[in-house]
Amino acid sequence: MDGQEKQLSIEETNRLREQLGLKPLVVEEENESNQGTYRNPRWVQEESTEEQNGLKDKLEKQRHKRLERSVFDAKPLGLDVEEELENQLDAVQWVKKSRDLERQRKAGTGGMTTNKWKKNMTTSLSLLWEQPKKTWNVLDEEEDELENIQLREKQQALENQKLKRAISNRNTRGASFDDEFSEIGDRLTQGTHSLLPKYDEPKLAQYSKNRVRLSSLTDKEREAVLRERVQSLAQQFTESRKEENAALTETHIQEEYYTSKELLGKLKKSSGKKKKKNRRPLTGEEDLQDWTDSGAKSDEIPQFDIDPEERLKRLHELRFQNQNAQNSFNTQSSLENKLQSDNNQLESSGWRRVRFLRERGADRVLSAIQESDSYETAKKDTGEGNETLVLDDLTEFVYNLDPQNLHRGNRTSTEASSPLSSVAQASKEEEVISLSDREEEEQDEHVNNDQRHLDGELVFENKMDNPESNQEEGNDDLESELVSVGLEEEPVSMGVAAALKHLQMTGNLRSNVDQVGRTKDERVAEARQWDDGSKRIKLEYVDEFGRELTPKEAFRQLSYKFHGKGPGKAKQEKRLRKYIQELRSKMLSTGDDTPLHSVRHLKDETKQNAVPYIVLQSSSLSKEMNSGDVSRDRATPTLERANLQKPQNRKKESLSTTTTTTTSWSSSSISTNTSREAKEVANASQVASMALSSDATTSVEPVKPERSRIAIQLGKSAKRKRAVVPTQSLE
Amino acid sequence: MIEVICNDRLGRKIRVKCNPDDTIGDLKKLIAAQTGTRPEKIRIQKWYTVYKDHVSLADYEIHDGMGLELYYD
Repeated sequence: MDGQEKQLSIEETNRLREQLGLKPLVVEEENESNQGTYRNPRWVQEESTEEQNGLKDKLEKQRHKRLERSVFDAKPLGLDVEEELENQLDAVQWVKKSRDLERQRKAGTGGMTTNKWKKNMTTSLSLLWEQPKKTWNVLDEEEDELENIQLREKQQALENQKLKRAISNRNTRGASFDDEFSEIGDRLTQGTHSLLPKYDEPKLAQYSKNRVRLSSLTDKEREAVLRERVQSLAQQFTESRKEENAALTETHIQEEYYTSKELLGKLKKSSGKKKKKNRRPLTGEEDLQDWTDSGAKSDEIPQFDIDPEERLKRLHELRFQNQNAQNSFNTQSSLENKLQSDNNQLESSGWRRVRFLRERGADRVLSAIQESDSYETAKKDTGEGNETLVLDDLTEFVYNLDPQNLHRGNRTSTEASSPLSSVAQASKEEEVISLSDREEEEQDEHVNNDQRHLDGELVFENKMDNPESNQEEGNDDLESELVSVGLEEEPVSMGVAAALKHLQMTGNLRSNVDQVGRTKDERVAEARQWDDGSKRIKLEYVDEFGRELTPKEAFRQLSYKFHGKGPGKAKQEKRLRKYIQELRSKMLSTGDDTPLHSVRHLKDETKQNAVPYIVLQSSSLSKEMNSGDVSRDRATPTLERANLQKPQNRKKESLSTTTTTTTSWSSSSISTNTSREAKEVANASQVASMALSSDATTSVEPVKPERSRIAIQLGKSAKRKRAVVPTQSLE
Repeated sequence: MIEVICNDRLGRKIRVKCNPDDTIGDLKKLIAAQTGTRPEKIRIQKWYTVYKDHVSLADYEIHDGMGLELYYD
C-alpha cells in the first residue's frame, strides 16, 4: 500500500483529460485577495507590524518596571516587622541597641540570663507561626508565643512522674503535699479545688517557666488581667444561673380555683372537633371580661354581676398581655350587650353563653350581629388596614394555593363579594362558635379581618390593573370567584387539551408513587396529612438505587441489616436484573421507538441507501402477488434492487415511476439538492401525483398499469429499474 | 482548477486536479486513470451522501482541497 499521495502535474492531467475527452484544466491566476483560498487562508491584519512591535515593547518595559519595584515592596521576615524596619534603617540606633543589649547581658537583667543561655544553647526555639499551634484560649488574644517542643515534652514527662508518685504514695503518709496537690499552686483561680485533679484536662501550659512570651505585660500583670476576666465571666455565669433558677422555682400558693394565667394555658388547648366558627364581630372589652369571668379568679366565685369598673381593670391587665386581640374584642362587646339584655345569668359566663346561643339559634345571633354598631365599625376598620399578622390554617391554605393568583390581573372581585369573605360569611351564618375555642374564634376574626384586608389590597390592585373589568363583571358567582382565587381554572374550550389541563390542575394526573416492593405490597399513595401542619411527618425509605420502598420492603431491608444476613446471590442478581429491565422499559416508554427498534432499523436503511425513503415492495413482486405467480426466484432482496444504479453517460437520468409503494421519511435527502435534479423530480412527482390523485378512488390494481404507462412515457428506458421517485417527500 | 483529495482508507490517497465545473463522472474517470480501477466501480461519498455522476463539483460545493471518500462497488 502506498502511503504517499499520488499526484499528477498539471500537464499530465491535461494530457489525461485530452485522452478522456475532457476540457483542459482552467488554471486561475492567484489573486492577491484578502480572503485567500481554502488552503491558503490569509488572516487580515488591520494594524501594521510596526505599531504592533511598538506596543509590545511598551508592555515589556512596563512589566520590567513592575517587577523591579515589587522587590522593594516585599516584606522581610521577622518578628516585629515594622519595628525592625524602623530600627534597622538607622545605623546609629542599631549600634546603640546592640550596646544596650550587651550591657543588659552583663548585668543579667531582662531577656535570658547567661546561665540560661548556656543551658538552652543546644535547644532551639521554633516559631509558632511556622507550625501554627494555637492554644484555644479565649483570654489569650494578641500575644505571640514561642514554644519549645522539647521543653514541653520534658515538662509533661515530669508531670507524669509526679502523678505516678502521687498515686503510689497516696495511701502512705510519705506523700508530700506538693507532689499530690501541686496543681493547686499553679492554678490561676486559686480558690477552686477540684476533685480528682489528675483526670482534669492538661493544665494550661501558658504559665510554664520555659515558655518565652512576647508581650508588653509582665507576668504578674498578665495574671492579674486574666484573673479579672475569669472572675467577671464567672460572675456573669452565676448570675444568669440564678435568674434561671429563680424563674423555674418560683413558688406560688396553689389555690382552689383557677387563676387567669392557668386558664389561659387551659383554654389554648383545642377541643377535638373544630366547628366552623360563627364569625361574629367582637368587641374587645366585654369579651375579655367575660373570659376572665368564666375563669374565675382565685378569690371569686363566678359572678355574673360585676362592676363595670372592675371589669375595666381586669381588661386593662389582660390587654397588656394580649396585644393582638384588640379588634376581636371590640366587636364582641356589642354583641355581648345585646345578648345579655335577654338573659341575665347564663349569658355573662363564657361557656354558658354557648349553650344559650345554641338554644336560641343562629338567626338571633346573626340579627344581633347585624344590628350591633360595632360590626359596621369593625368592617370599616378592617378596610383601612390591619397591621397585625396572624398565621392561621386558613390563611396559610389560601396563601399556598397560588400566591401568584392573588395578584392576577383578571380578578373580578369587589370588596363585598370577594371570594373568601363570601365563603367566610356563608360559613358564619351557618354555625356557632364554641366558646371553649374562644382563642380560635378570636384568631378567626383576625383571619377574616386579614382576609378582608387582603381582599381590600387585592381590590386595590385590581382597580389599578383592570378598572374596567371590575365594573363589568359584578356577578357574585361562586365559580367565578373561585376561579379568581385560583381554586379552579376557567374552562377555555371543550377539547381534550382543556380537559387534561383541568385534570392536571385538580391533581388527578399525578402519577402514583412508584414504590418498589413485591407486587402485592401495599403502596402508600401520598403522604398522610396531619391536622397540625407542623407535625407532618413522612418517613421515606429508599433502596440503594434511590427508589422509594413500600413499607413491607422497607422492613425487609431493615431486617437484613438487623440480622446481618441478606438474600442469596441468586436473589441479588435477580433483583439487579429486574432493576435493569425496569430502566430499559422506562427508556423505551419515553422514547419513540418500538421494542424491536423498528424506527432505528428504518433509519439505518435510509442512511445506507442514501435516499429519504424505503421501498417496501417492488413492482415485480406486487405483480406476482396479484397474479398468483410465485415461481420466480428473487435472489436479491427488494430493497437492494431498488438501489441499483447503473452507471450512465452524461445523459439526464430518466425518472420513472414504478409501481412500488413507498414510504418516505423526513431524513435529509442528498440527490435532490441540486437544482437540475430537483426540477426533474418535481416534474415527475407532479405527474405522478396527478396520476395518483386521479386514481385515488380506484383500487390499487388498476392504478399500476397506468403508472407503468407513465413510466414508459417519461423514461427513455423503462426496462431499467431505476431510482424511485419520492412521491410524498416533495408534496 | 481545484485539487481534490480522494481517500480510500485502505492506503490509497489521490490528489486529483480538476475544474470546478467538471462532473463527478469526470472525476471518477480521472481517479480511475490514476488508480487503475474502472470508473464504473468507483463510488465517491461524503459520509452517507453518495455523489451522483451527473452533478458537477461546483453544484456539490466541492472546493479546493476538500477530501472525499473513495469506495468501490
